[in-house]
Amino acid sequence: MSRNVTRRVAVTALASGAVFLIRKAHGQVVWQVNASRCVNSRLGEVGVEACNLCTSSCVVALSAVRAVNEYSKCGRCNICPAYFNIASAVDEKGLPSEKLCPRDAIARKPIGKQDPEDPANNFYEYVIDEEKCDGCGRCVMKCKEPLGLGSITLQVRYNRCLNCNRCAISTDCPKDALEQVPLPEALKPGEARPTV
Amino acid sequence: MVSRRELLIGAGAVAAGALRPAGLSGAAVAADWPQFRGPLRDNVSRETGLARKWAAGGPKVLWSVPVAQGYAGAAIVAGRVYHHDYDEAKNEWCVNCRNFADGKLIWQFREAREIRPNHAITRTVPAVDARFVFSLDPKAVLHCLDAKTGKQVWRSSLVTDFKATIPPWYNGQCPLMESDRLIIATGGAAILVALDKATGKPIWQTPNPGRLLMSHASVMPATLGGVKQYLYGTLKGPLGVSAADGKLLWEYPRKFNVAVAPSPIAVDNERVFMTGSYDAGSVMIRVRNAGGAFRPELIFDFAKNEWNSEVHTPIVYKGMMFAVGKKKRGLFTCLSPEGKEVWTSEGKATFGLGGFFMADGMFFVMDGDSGKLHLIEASTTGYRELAAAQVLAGQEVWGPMALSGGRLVLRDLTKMICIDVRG
Repeated sequence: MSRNVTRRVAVTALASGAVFLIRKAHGQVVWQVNASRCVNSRLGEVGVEACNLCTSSCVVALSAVRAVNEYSKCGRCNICPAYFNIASAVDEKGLPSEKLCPRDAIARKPIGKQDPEDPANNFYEYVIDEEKCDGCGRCVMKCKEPLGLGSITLQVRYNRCLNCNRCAISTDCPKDALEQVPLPEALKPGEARPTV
Repeated sequence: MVSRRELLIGAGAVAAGALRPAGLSGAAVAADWPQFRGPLRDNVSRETGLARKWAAGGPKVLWSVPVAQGYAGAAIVAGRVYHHDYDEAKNEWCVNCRNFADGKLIWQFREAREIRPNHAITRTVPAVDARFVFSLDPKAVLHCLDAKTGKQVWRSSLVTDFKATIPPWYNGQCPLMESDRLIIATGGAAILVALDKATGKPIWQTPNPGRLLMSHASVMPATLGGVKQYLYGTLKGPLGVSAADGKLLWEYPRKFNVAVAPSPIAVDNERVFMTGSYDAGSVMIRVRNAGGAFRPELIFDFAKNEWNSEVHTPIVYKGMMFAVGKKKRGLFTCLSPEGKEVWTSEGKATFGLGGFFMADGMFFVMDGDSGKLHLIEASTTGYRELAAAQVLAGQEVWGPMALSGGRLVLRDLTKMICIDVRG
């Protein structure tokens, strides 16, 4: 009985591994951080300290993890809590005076029609500079739903990952928040939706 | 034939009339729900005779109509339902007047208004009396419409007339309607203005030397230190304005972040509570009247991840505050005036960012993630659910509800329904 169970478990594990390897071989999975499981989603609560393992655990210098913004989900808000440090002082237009990203890795540019009578509702495109981003995830936590739209996530970028197959971040993550997401479900940069 | 139930509701309505502060929405029938948060602006209905248990299938749905994506709630006056809507195909903003009995459209006011959907499109509740409908549109144009026909009586662009700035994510303010005037926050040239209902002409304006911007909060009536005033909250904290002449009586500097959607409320005749989103927490202050000079002082200040409400304004009942808090993802909470969590719905129910109101000793609380409506005993000692029913579909079921004559009008993102909650 126990031998059968052990055998079944082993076969299932092998099959799952095979499916993963096949998907990976075909580029069908993406390592992505589940923002709601990430320990940083509790930042601000008593006793919770910022976790930087996505940045420090990776065997790649500056980490292979980057923030990814999917434009089709982004609200393109004027006051983007992932772009601005919303706790900083505001100017007379109501805009926070400081940026959130400590490496200034997010740039924004106005898109679509600009309404001079309604500047606070103009749209902006937020672009993450992967040369500057180190995957700290501060922006991800500020874009979380429900008040954020969850358009930013942390991903192991395929072009930076060494495919060592012993992902140190995944092993070290205290919340097991790094997940293999099928490519169609992963957030994708560069898919812009039509502007209004 | 008038049923016992209707008599009970009528009695409750009369009681509501007796409780109404002088000068507040005098023209509305007592059982009406004429504006945001109801006749007294406290989100409490004085109706009685409501069901305390629901059948397995939930309350009977009397009608259902499709609406543009959003959170715009209803006002109910004299057998008519009024609400905001939007025509995405034509880029036209609408005010709809419907028959309360069957939801059929009676008239519709339209005006071209280009809106970029961002957290849906429609927001806010119009204010309605026997003659007029007052509606503040997404781009801060205030419309006065004839309640019978929907024809425009007057309009005022707050951007043009008061140098207001349209807030990000558009206007979220619902006009406060008094017997002869409207109270509106404008920012820009004034903090608040009182406008004559019939003409739209300013009665008074509160100077704005601090260049405060219009927030998403609405003006709330209060009596503090024996003086009637209007409370308002901005990114720079709460303030109070004299109802008599619009003079700024006090302000309490306290930073809020990005947008303030909940409105500040008076918890008693001295204490004012203001809460907000985006890690801003909440603040309770005491406003003392020292011989005509009002001095605010701090009672407590909640940092982020202590208690706060993100969208909705708390209800004050038996000296306690009740609201869905952000902490732990939407727990309905009873909060003491000292800032202690007396009880929460933890382990029993969560509500996302759902709306709520109180009637007949019960809280109607919407699960903003699923569209499930919960009926909860109005108690200061613990959470006790009386009934629950899946009346709408998630997600973002955040719109405020309106009750009149035992019939409840509520909505999800794309549908407005009327259900029968009479006992």
